[in-house]
Amino acid sequence: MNKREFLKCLTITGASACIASTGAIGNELISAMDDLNTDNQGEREASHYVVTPRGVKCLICPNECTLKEGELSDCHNRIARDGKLFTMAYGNPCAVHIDPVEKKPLLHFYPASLSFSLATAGCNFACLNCQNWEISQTSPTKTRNYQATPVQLVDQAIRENCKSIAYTYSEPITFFEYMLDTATLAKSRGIKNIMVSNGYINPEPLLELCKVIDAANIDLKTFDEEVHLKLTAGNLKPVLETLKTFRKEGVWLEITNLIVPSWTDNFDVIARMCDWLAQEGFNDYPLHFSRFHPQHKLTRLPVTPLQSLTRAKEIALKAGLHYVYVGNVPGIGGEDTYCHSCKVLLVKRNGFEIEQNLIVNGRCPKCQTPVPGRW
Amino acid sequence: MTLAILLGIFSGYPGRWAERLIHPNEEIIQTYSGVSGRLTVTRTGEQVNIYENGVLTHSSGNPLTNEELVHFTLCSHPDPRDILVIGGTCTGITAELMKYDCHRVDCIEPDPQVIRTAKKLNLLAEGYPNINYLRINPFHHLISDTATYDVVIVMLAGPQNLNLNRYYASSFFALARKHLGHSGMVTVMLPGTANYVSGNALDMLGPIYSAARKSFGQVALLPGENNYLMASDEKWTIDILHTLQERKIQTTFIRPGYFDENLLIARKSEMEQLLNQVFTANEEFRPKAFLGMINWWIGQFPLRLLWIFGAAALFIILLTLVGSKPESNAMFLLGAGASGLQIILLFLVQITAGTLYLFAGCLPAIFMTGLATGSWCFLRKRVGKILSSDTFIWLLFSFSGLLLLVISEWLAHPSGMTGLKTVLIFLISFIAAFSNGAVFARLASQPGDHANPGRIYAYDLMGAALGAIVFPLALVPLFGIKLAIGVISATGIVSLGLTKLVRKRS
Repeated sequence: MNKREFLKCLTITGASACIASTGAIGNELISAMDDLNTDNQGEREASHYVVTPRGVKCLICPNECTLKEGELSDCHNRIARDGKLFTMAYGNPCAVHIDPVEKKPLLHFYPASLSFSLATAGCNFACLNCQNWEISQTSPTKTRNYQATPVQLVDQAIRENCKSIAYTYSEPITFFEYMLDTATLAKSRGIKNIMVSNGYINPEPLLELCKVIDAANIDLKTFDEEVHLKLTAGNLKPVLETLKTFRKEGVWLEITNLIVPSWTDNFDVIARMCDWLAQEGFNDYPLHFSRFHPQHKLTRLPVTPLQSLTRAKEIALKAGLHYVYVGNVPGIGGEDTYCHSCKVLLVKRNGFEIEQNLIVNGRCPKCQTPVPGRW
Repeated sequence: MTLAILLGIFSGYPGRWAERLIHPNEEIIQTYSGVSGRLTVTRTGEQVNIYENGVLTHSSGNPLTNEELVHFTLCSHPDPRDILVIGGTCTGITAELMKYDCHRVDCIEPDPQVIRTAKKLNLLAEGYPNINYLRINPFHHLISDTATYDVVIVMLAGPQNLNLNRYYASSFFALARKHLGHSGMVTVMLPGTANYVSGNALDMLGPIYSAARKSFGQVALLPGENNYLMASDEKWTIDILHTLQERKIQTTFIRPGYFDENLLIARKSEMEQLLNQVFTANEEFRPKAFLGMINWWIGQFPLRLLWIFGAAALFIILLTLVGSKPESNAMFLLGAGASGLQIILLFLVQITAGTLYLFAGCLPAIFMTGLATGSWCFLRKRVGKILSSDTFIWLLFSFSGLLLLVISEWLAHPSGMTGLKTVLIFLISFIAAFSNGAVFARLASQPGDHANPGRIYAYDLMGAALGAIVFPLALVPLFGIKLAIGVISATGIVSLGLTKLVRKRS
């Protein structure tokens, strides 16, 4: 069964179940499909929580929601039931695609390989510019979901010749248990694990993840505390701590900074961010400046002008970061890799395709400078 | 003090200040009032952005959208020569079209000012004698011109208002089809849905898909940066990369590496499965796509409290009506019908005149004048004699609704005569308001009850408030504009019945 057949099969099964159970037609069918998980499908007891006199307290992320009976967490997929905390996002992804790893974006992690990418509904941020707001700002009970156990996911990834599984699109921290189980199984079967995340996670669950996650792309939204809070509803500090932990634990890390006009395009703030990254020893970890497209609650803003992206790149290089990329802008060579020492072009990319890769044993063939990453 | 404030307002400074506030970090090049409202042109870097009433409509220098829209369409046609593009003049789409061997490219904007602005800012592709920038209403062009096109491309912001909704309605697809040659194709750009298509998004996409299916045998929806609905009578296959290579067309984004054709085909099939349901087709008078779009947008915000508040208010109003006098209820009903009619007339102005902006103030002014005239005439002895018949003044209201019902098709038909249509809409508004004013004066002038005028006025306003909510939010979306007009007409008759009941009792 190939990916298309797999998706088709799951969609047809879901749709048939809905028709059988509701007999609805037309637009009502969609509502019925959206309610596919009303029988608590995808629910199982969550990890990392404590019972307090005020209710159950989730300890996965710094939001640390305290929930009374029947209440839903800020991330929309954790619920208090019978004095326990349940995750509603286990085995029920709503988006499943096979993407090139460069799309995550990860440019120093097994280039040109495929990544089996999935997401369940839910996110612990509420970014005004979210591209995937229709799945991130809702609960798994309101999305059309596939049914896929960790075993099925790993089997499918292997069948599709995917080098890795990427937990992406929405916020994988919110489906922590599903991600951890899948990643553990995948690792045991030789599949790499990628986490594309906002990095808003508490240290304890993060350390658990570090044992099985091979690479992460962390979205560092901005370096301005106030803007970060207003744009995402989350604080900046835990994200910075996550970056440090990933590096310390040896997880390959790439950082994305989406430049949103009038929100995160302050060059002084960008300079401060780059200086901090350099001081904290992130010089060898790629930094991606990404182009914003009008989305969600910021549709009145224009796309990021190219000049802002190139200026940000200049600032980052000046700060001492070695691998700085410009994303979402085709045709300008913004995703090519140069040796930071002798400036020779090492990897020439055409979108998600590699046109030329001169890296030998992780080193520049000209000056023998190591090129960090997993090659 | 007042003079100073007025001088300040007319100096234009507050306007400029507000523009700067709305568009921080953007250089404001130009702002002016066009037919669609306030048009603002800004620059960020080398990129030019055009806003209509604060809403971003287009930005220059975005190759992703231009390439997807042009190459998805033109690569699906065996020999695209004559092309019509509606909207998107400032985006650089014409430069992309010129990569093909086109004989003729006609570009039209719903707001002709946009073409003038684009020319001023050097955003138009120069040096191509076969590109024609036509300053004409796109619908007028399709009706009056006999040109045959191979491809019609619509690059607008989506069905965000009733005027734009027309470009996604079944009548547009039927009209466009008449201009298509053999293997002709219409492509309509729609808002994107990223990695997941929600139920709300489907409620907007489905009616447009059904509308296209009414005129074309083959309809597909291709997801990309945006969604692209493609419709033709001939079957076509998606073979974009190969066709581009065959036609020796250079691209930046639609090329191996960036563009995954297999993924596009897989996502198209998924989309087809989702759209393979019964959706009510989007019509001008049943604007399902417009309402779906509004719903989709509203879905971003937690509005549950608002709905609870609305339901509670409705409950209180209905509870009040149960214990009320019949004449109060009669006024309530007429108030509801009158405000519903005004809102539908506003919808129709947007459909017929292409914009609401310049007429937004006129319609309420005419309505108020009608109310005042009706009341005044009833109280004048000479004129009052004619209006002394209850049946006449009540049925005058129903008549205004019926008249609107009869001419509604013609009003929406893109045949020109905008001036005459607008005058007729104003006339209907006046007649309905006149009747409403006369009925108010009739019901309020009960001898011996000093509180009566106040009570009748309160019921009139409560009815108006309810009508302003129920008609646009419930009746029009569920049953369409025509049925809503029918209900409005009926409110006049029911209201008359209640008054007759009072008379019979007394």
